[in-house]
This record gives sequence, C-alpha cells and structure tokens, in this order.
Amino acid sequence: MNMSLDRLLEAMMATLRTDVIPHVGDPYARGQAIGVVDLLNNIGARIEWARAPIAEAVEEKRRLLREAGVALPAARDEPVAGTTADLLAQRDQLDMLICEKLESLSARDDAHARQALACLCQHAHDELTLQMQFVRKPLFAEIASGGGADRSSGR
Amino acid sequence: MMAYKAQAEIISPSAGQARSFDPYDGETVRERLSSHLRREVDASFEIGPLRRYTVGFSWVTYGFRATWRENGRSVERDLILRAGPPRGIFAPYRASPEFTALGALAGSGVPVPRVYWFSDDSAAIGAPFFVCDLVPGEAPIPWTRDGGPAFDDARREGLGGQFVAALAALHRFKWEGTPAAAIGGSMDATRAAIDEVTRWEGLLAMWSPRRIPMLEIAARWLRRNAPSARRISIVHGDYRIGNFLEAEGRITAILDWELVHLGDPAEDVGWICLQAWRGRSPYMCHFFTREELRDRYALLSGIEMSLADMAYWEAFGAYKLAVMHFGAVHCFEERGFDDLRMAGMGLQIPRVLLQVESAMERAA
Repeated sequence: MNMSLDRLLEAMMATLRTDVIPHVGDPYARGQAIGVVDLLNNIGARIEWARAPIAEAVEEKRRLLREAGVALPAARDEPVAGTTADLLAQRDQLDMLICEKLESLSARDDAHARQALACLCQHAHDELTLQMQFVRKPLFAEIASGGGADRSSGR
Repeated sequence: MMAYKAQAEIISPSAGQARSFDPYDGETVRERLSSHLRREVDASFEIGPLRRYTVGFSWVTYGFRATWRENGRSVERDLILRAGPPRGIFAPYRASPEFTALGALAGSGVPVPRVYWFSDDSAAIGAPFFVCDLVPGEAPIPWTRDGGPAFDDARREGLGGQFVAALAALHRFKWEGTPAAAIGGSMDATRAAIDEVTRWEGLLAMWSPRRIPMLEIAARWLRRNAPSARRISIVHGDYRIGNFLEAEGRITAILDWELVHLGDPAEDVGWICLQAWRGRSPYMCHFFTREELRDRYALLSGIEMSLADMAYWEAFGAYKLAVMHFGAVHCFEERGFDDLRMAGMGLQIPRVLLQVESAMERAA
C-alpha cells in the first residue's frame, strides 16, 4: 500500500464537501452524503491498513534476502513487530536491499547469479499476485463517463 | 491528519506574482482568461460561461463560447481551454510542446484542433494553458462496463482504418525545419529507446522514494534490449482509444498531446497494444490484432515494424503506464491533489506491475 489511510479519508471528505454535495439537489440525498462525511471523519482514528499481510510480506522479504546471502541489519532480523507504519517502513527498506541485490546480480553472468536473480524475480511476481487478492476491478468506465454511457461527449 | 491547502499557491518566476488555480472555480478561471485575452488579443474579447468536461486524468478541460474582433471582423467560436493543474499528475506543466505540435500539424493528414493562444506561465490564469477549437464528436473510451468489445465489426473497421491512417500521417510528417523540431525528445535514432527509459526512470525516482523491484527489473531489461529507431518522428506519447473524437463514423480530432516528443514511432504502436486499452477484447485498442496493426501501419506509413519491435515498445509502454500510476499516487499523497481518480490509480498498482512483467515476458 502506497497511500496513507488518513490522506485517503481526508480526500474523500474534501471531494464530497467540495465537488459532490453542492451539486446534489435533493435534501435527503444531501443529508445522507453529509452522513458519509461524518462517518469518514469518525472512523479515521479507529482503523489502519490490515497489518497481517504487511507483516507476512516483511517476513518473506527477510527470508528471501537471507537466502540470497544478504546480511540484514540487526533490527531487520528481529521478530516482525511494530505498528503498521513501522512495518511499511521495514518493507520499503527491505525492498531497497532487494533492488541493490538485483543490481549486483545483474552485473554478473554466472549460474549462481542467474539462479539467485530468478528467485528475486519470482518473489516480485509472487508478492504482486498476493496483493491482487485485495485489488478490485476499477470502475474507470463509469468514472470517465461521469456515470453515463461508455463514451465521453465532445471536446 | 495532514493538512493541505484548499488551493495551490503558484509563484510565476517570470511574472513575479502569486496566483492560485482552483479547477472547480470556473468563474474565476473565466474572468482571468477574459482579462488575459483582452490584454493580449482584443480589448473586446468576450467569454461565455465555462463548462468542465469529466474526461482526462491530467489537464483540466473546459468548453466555452467566445467572441472577439480579428482584422476588423467579428469572430464567434466555440473553444476549448486546457489548463495544467499545478498539483496534477505531470505538474509542473508546459503548454508549449502540445501547442507547437498541434500548430505544426495543422493541414497535415492528422486531424487536430486549430490552436489559438497559450502560456507556459501561471501568471495569466494560475496555470499553464492553451486554447483551441472545440471539435464536434465523442471520445469512445477503452473501458466498457462488461469488459467486452467497444465497437461492432463495422465501426471497428471504419474507425480502425482512420485511427491507423492518422498515426501513419503523424509518423510520416516532416517535422525537420518546422517549429515542432523544438518540442523535445530524442533526435538520435540509436538512443531514442534508452532516452525514454531514462526519462521515465527519472520521473519514477521523483515520484516514488520507495524502490520497486519489478520496475527495476523492467528498466534493466528495457535498457539491455533497446532497439534502434528506423527513423525519428513526432511521437504522440498517448495514442489510443479514448484520445480521439468521433462524429458520425469519422475521427474528427486526435487529442491529448501532452506527452508529445520526438522519438521512435514504434513507441506509439507499442502503446496501442497495452492490455489497459482493450480489457478482454482480443483487439489492440478494440481495433486490430497485433498482426493487422503491423500490416496496416506498414502499408500506410512505409515503416516496417517487426512484432518483436512492437513487443519491446509494448513492454516499455507498460513500464511507462506503471510509472504514471506512481505519479498519480505522488500528486494525491504528497501534492494534495484531491482528485480521487488518482487514488484509484494507486490502488491498481499491483495489476499494472503484473502487466509490466507479462509484457516483458512476451517481448523476451
């Protein structure tokens, strides 16, 4: 996850307040939209991104790097712990180490390097495949047409 | 929560004055544009109400009716204002490359709107902008509700033929000695691909402090396998379904030239082949198989292209599209751009990264 939950909630509220509610003609519908703003405003302090998938990703990256012979700094080799924000920071640091390893292996042309490189590439693929279980089909057709037909009117 | 300003404050170095730009405040944009055009074009310039279009993920587009005097005669036209939002995905924007390319292409075989005025400066309306003719038509979009075909066979054939003919005309266009020679890009056929990879790597570095293994794997592969261009052409940079207008079966205008540059024409052909522009349709941009596209393009442009070249540029296109998604996240997360479509793009990043991988595997 690349975006902060706080920022997402804030932008959703701002969009409703600025771009949606002023253009809703029906008072009941307007009240319901303000109700959504109220809910978004109240749930922010109660929720965070699901921690388990990020912790698993950190664990997997550590295992991968250990197998690739990368010495992890002590803090990154301890049991996975911390807040979601800590885990995201750890994930990013481990991705940096993976990228550095990719770089060094790519400069070599021996069987061992090719095999290690294949493992790192496979990890990148597997991680994205896992993340896809959280990704829903985008509603670009409706967004681009303003909720209307599958085409946009003239410019 | 993080605090964001409701409007961006823009300092225009050349004008030395601050101006804000709120795309939702059409009245202020209208007043500023009126003042600017009264000063620069004609003191009697009149602009009607601005209506904002929903299309486009980058520039903000408004339509309006304008009247002014030219050579002693009264002119009345429906026009389009395109403004580059200060916190938008490709900010800071410049209007001049698009304006220059469109001006140079007027009267060529590429259907383009006539352009009138532009500014790269934010002093006039709070954002770089240009004004062009409103062209009649609608823009078919790549995303259909059920993921199926966007066209029946007759429209596919009719529009598809025009779509590739306009691209061939663009790539045949002799830009040397025209103002389009100054739009930027690569003029070295041996470096066109590498230059583009470098350009998008640089944008990714600017937009994502996080290093992304899949994109580093892809960039390395793209560098190692970069082909030489057969020629240097004007490259549209975002040539696809969604970026042209159609009226009564005729393509009336090719739009959205913000990524225009000089480079390898194969880049546009590869971009047409992206998964993102066809959903579950077997046809590139809902028009052609890859082989049909290659053959029709070669016939009309005189530029022979192998499926391998197309596959390389498709892989590059997938990489470029993925980098754009990081740009969307950056403008949403760091620049306070509230357009929720940017956040929506951010949530699709795993999908586009897997598309980079599969495009690379097909090309390998």
